[in-house]
Amino acid sequence: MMESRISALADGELDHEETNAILVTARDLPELQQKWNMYHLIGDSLRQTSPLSPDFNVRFAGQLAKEPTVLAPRRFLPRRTPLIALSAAASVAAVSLVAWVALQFNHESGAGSASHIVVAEASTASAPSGININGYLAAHQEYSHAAQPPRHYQHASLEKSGDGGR
Amino acid sequence: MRALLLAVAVLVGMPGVAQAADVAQQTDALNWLNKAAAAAHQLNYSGTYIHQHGAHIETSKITHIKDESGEHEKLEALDGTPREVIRNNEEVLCFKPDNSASVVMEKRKIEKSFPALLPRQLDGIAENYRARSAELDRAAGRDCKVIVLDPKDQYRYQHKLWIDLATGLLLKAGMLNEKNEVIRQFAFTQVEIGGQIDKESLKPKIAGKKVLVPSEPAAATELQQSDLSWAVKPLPPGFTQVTVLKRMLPGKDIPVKHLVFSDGLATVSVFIEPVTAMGKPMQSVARQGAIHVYTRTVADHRITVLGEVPAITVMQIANSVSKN
Repeated sequence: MMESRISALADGELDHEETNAILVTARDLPELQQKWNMYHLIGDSLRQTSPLSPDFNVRFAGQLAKEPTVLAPRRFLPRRTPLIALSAAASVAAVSLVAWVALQFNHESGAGSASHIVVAEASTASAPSGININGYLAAHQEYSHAAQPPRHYQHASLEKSGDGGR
Repeated sequence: MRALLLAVAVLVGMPGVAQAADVAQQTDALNWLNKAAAAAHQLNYSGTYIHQHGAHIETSKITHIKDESGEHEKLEALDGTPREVIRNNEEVLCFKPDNSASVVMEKRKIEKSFPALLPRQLDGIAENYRARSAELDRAAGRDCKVIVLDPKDQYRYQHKLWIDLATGLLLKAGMLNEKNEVIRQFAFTQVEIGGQIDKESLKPKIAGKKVLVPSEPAAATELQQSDLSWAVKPLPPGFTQVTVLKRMLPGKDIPVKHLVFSDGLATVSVFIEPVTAMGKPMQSVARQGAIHVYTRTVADHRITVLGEVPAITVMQIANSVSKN
């Protein structure tokens, strides 16, 4: 319970009252402070920023004690999703970006033994750049082998009969 | 005797003799392919087969009759929209329900369908694949000779063919990529070979008013090479041009040039058409089941290359397209 609240705190998810409450609790619980440090360490490694030196907070606290107190408006932190979830969301975003680049096909690599060509896999009969390849496929199958009366002939014939039964 | 020769060849290390044994094996395998190529056209059979490509599986029913008037066949899709293909020698009609009141018939030219996958001419196969026999196996409950066609280079896939020992009919066929994954296969799950089949069973089952859609050949005309104004060279090894057509494709106002290439087993189509104002294509390669598709633009024309070949083959062919 306390762990998830620390995590939420690290992600800037708690409101002012909750933050105060947990900070009051954490003040007397060194293991919570350690957790707090750990969450930030995890966060830093996920974001691939170099972690601070282990005794940073000790030195920082020392220096802070020497500083005069400055009253300034509280910086507004935009609400974020928990860190772990965020990183998951980030990878989803990366995946969907890749998928978007590949025009909504899943990626598959390694086709073609000589070179590592990245090939988009079309689950429906559409092709690069969203071009509908059904017509090409049907024409190709006259020379290749047709497995089954192809479904897309239906579409083809409808269009053909539509323009006056050529 | 052959085994002895082989043993001697291995012991003494005489490449000549080993090669002779190799050739004998290839000849034997090719004989089986010849047998299978003929059996699909000459036998009576009826059965159900699956076709798997990529993650898709389709089931079809085939009935084939050979009599004094030639070949008669009915192919029926068992899943999805009801579709039937009825073939009388060269004439092929497709039936499918268009709406509740009518059935559209369409004249189509479909040259090869399972189990008639093999070409009558095996020269290309012999040249581009190494044919060998594998261990006996069973398919659709019948004993089979298994022939493996190993590609001689990276431009084609490996094929495995299960041929009925008793009749020579192709019962199962698989295409494998360089990672040894089956990317396409046909397999009878049940088949009856030989005997009399009632011709009544070839009549279309799809009911309704029949509308004949004008035949495809009218929309496709063969082109002279000199009228083409495009060149595709160099081609990947083993591929030769089969035909050049000018054809209408559904949804397109202007005819498309269609070039067909083959290595004796795998077929690659090249489509050339002017780039339309609305879809400027980007250069990309996609895969659908066993088919690779590659598009690029050359001299304001869209080049679309597709076939049951590795990505490298469609790409190389597309990159060889140039305007004269």
